[in-house]
Amino acid sequence: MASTNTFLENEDLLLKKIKAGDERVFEMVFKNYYPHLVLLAQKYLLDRDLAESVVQEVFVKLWEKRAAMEIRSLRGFLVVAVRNKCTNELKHRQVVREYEKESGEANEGVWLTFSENVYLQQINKVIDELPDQRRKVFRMSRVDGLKYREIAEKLNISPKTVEVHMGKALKYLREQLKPLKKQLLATVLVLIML
Amino acid sequence: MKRENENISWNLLAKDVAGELTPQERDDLQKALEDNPDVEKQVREMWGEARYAQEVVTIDADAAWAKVRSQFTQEQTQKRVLSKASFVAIAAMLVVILATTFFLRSYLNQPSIIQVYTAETMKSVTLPDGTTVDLNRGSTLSYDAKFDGDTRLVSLVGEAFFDVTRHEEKPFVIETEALEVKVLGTSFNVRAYSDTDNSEVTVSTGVVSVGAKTSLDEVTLIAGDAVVYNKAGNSLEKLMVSSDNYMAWKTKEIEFNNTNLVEVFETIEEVYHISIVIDDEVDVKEDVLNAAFSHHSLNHVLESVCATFNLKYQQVGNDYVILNRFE
Repeated sequence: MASTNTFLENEDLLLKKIKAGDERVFEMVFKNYYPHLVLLAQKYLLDRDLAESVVQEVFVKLWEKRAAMEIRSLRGFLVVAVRNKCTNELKHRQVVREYEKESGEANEGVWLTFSENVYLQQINKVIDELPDQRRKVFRMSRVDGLKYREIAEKLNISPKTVEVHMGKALKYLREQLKPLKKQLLATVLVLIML
Repeated sequence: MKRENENISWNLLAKDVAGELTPQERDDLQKALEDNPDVEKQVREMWGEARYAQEVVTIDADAAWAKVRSQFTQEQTQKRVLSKASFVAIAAMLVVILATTFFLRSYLNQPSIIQVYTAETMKSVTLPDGTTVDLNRGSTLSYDAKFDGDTRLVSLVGEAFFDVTRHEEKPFVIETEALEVKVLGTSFNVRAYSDTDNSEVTVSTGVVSVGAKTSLDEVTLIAGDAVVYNKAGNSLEKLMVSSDNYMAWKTKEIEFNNTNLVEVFETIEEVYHISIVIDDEVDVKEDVLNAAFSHHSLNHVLESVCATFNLKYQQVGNDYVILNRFE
């Protein structure tokens, strides 16, 4: 796995292979970047299906034009291509502003390298380790964006209990993930710049 | 690290990141974090990562790859056909032309529709044929990047001023929700917001033909004419244009000639894209205004109009409220 990672993070080599028409390398690159680019596009378009089709188009075009393409950074190219396509697709300031408002909350970058994908898998593993009810509360808060009060109502528990679950989930995640994160020396966050 | 865990109130931190702290709790948390100022930032970051991680797994990259892959196959079949064609070709020139055509076609394998949106700002767009379009706020213009059909077809939601390049064999056609506007080369304004009942076309120069999509009505307009389409009545009504205010949103030139004050405020609303509320106490039905404004700010225009009629205005939320001046 380690050698695969190194190989996939060597962008020059990847680009050379893709230019030469190596479809298997292209597939690996696709599968690595695709979910991240979809989430990026979704933030602009606020629509999962549309986001998926935008990203797919970018990859199809990249493949078609691979020979003529002058790309220095694959990652940079993909982020910019997706972002441009989204803004063209939906040049609606309102939407962009909504997005800015929402994303102000957390330091959310575009996760695009393979070691980061590994880290994301680890996070999910740790979340899966939470007790059922706690995981449910956690997901309702973090993924669905519900307020504590709303979660309490839905699960028929007190807001205080929600608070305790969230505190414990946070503590557990932090304990488990902090050492892992330190290992990730090469954490590169391509921040979304608008 | 142990000290950190002992001193930190995880419940408060979690509430903080979820945006649920009360002011009192915020104070408590700040005190608790005095020794660990970075924790809040790190936790925020981790919380963001956790949400991100949970979202990533909902995306099926394998299924998407299958879809993307199927589009490559088509492209490769096309390539094979092409290479046969170029084999037959005698002149190298022909190969170049074919290759270019192929390249363009695979480039633009679907009709590439360009859409230009405006929200709070106006925008000027130049189309492939040289036609310029000034888009007003909250408008969408869609067109094919190639313009290679029998007509130069664009679609508009909202308001735009068109200065159409003359091209007799290829009429320029604007489709709106209700209207079809056909021209050869001219300049005119189209107003067709989706949330209003009336669409309007006003001609500056040249000849324009306007038809309602849902009826056989069609009118021909020359410079100085306007037509209003009424959704409810499904009818086209031709009018004479009394001022150039219909394009003031673009030119910022407003002119009032014996214009009723209610109409004056309506025009200001449209030009500056604001909402004006006339207070019940204010009686302006009989007042008329003669004035011209050129590139003036909204405040200047409102100030001048109000001063003339002993009125004042106040901004209340998103509205400008017109009141009597005496206190």
